[in-house]
Amino acid sequence: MLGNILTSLLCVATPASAQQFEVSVNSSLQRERDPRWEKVSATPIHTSTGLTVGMVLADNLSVIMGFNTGKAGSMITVPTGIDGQDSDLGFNLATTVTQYQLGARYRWKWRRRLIPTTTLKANLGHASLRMDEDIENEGDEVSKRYSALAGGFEIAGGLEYTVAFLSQDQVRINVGFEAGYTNLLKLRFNDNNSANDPISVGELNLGGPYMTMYVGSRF
Amino acid sequence: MRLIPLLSLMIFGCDQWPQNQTVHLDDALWDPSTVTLDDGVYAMLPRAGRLVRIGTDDNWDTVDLDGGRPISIKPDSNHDRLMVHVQWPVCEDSSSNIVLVEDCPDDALYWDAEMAIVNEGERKAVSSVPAHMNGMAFTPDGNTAIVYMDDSIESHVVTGPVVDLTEVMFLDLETGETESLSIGFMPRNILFTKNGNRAVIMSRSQVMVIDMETRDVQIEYPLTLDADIEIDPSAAVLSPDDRYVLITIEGSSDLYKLDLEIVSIDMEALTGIPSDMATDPETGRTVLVYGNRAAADVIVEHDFIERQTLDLDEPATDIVIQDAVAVIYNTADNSSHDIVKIDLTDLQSTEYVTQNPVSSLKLSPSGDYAVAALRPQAEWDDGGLDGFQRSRWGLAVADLRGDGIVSLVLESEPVGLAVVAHSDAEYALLLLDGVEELIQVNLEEPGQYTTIELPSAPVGISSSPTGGFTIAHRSALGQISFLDPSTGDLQTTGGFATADFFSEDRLPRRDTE
Repeated sequence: MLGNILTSLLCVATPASAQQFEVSVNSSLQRERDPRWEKVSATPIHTSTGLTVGMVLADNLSVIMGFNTGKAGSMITVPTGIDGQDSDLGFNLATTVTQYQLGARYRWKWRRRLIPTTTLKANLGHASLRMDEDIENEGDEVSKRYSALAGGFEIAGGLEYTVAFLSQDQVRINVGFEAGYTNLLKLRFNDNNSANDPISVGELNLGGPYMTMYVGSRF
Repeated sequence: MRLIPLLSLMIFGCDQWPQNQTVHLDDALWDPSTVTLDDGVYAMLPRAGRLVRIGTDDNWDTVDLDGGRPISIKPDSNHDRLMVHVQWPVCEDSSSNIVLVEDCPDDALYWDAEMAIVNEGERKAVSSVPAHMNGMAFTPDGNTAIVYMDDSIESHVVTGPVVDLTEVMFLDLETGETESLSIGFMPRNILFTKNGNRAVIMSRSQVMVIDMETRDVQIEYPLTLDADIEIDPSAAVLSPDDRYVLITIEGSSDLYKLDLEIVSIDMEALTGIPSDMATDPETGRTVLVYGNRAAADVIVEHDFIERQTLDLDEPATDIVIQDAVAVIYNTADNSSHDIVKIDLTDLQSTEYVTQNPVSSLKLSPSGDYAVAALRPQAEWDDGGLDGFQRSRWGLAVADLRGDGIVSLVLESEPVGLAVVAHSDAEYALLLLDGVEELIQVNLEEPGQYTTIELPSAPVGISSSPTGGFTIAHRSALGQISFLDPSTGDLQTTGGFATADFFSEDRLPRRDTE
């Protein structure tokens, strides 16, 4: 399927630009659609930052790879579970989601400085989940750390604007914006150390509409 | 795999613990009211709806209850099996797109319940005991239980359209098989003869004697012949020869004596309303105390209810009996400070005076000491050492071999008290609210104590069948310590309340119902 998409993209490709490589840093906002995300963060918006590098494959088509990573977390309060005690107990919960990405970006020919883009990426997501009753203390407090891996994808479209041309147009300084949809398969967190068989801590199904902005260069 | 997050941290500089928001969960992750069996400590996880078994060395696992959520756990009489009341949501709408509880229409959703019998971390048997039947009495051999609705327990989870308040169920703990019997309104006290052949079940205005072999009613004793009068038994004991049942009545000074051999009822008019009654199997004597009368009665002969009255300085409300010695004390009156030892052999009494009123009392394994938690007598410290002591929690140690008593002042309220013997001495193990130490008081010299540091503040202590103790801690994510009292070794397991933290509220048993 990916081949078909790439083939169809190549069919409408415009002549190659002079730049062969690209690098950018990006910052993304993603809306998490999994209701269980409410236990991680009171807001459904997850922010992440990352780095992307790429190389022109053919005409306006580049292969890109990179990663982005973001943290989210909250102070979780729960009842004590003790009859007659109204006060709450608390612990800190944080998750770091890192997505390693490999994909293709097609740049449509439109204006010299303003270029529409279409991006398709395959993702490998790694999430670490940390729970700690006292983050100020590295002692006898209860703390747990779990991790999970899952595959996924991203599809997006956007606009890239060249702020400046350098070195006789061999180098472009760009800013860009893309919006689309991303999805990771279920991240299954297990406790593998406490029993012979893994104990389920639960699943997170991360994904939803997202928007990313990046600053970079093609050269 | 960690290199890139580390790199990104260096590049972008993120906070390791984002905590600018607070998320409140309505249910506790775990219930510190745990049950200790010989194979581990069992705890309920109310939010996840799971049961976990916790062991030492940070080992713990979940118990598969086939989607059922535990709502109460109790040990059997031998602390060998765990009796787990579970319930689970049932959606009458069988549409395949209904997966979560929230997907089910309200009018199609109801809760079913059962009792699971768990041993060695596995569900060994299941029985159809409804959730409102929350009381259990075990036969002497521990293989059968009579389950009933205990109205003294505050929480009642009623499931099903019809509740029979006269019902008791006989539960075979091996197979989970049950047999129901209608016994009288609100059965409450259940006694078994020593050989386990008969059960005596008290209910409103009547008492039934059941043949445990045939499950038939052998004898029915009406406590009144007037249907308009309600007589609720408050306490009951069997005489040591299993012939007589003595029953006290709520709000009444009447003592009922039921003869199980020659079927008859005798009534004895007492001089007060009994607040507690207990029988000593060694001397065959029964002790009665009265919350409104400064006296204790000892029934020395059950055939004719021959009583001997011991006058006291203050009324007593509670009795503890061990090795032919009764210790009586008052937990109801804030001005009462007496602990009285009654030697049931010669009926000699010894009075011990505590500095503050008694909250709870335990006897040491040898019976040489009584250890009492004392509650504050006054809310405010009105000055002086007396005021200091009166306004604080305390611990009293009475030497029952003589007449000495020591009252200690405690930093905070005791949340756990156990008494243990090891190394040729006896100790009180004391846990105080908010204090991250276990205090070990040598009962020989109560002022001399040692402490064992705890990983966090405790909320309770319970003994285990293997001779150790388990300490539940004040912890959101779950923390239990295992104490070997002979060595002072403490092993802690934590984090078990994270099981199924991200679980979805799925409808279980959809394929089987």
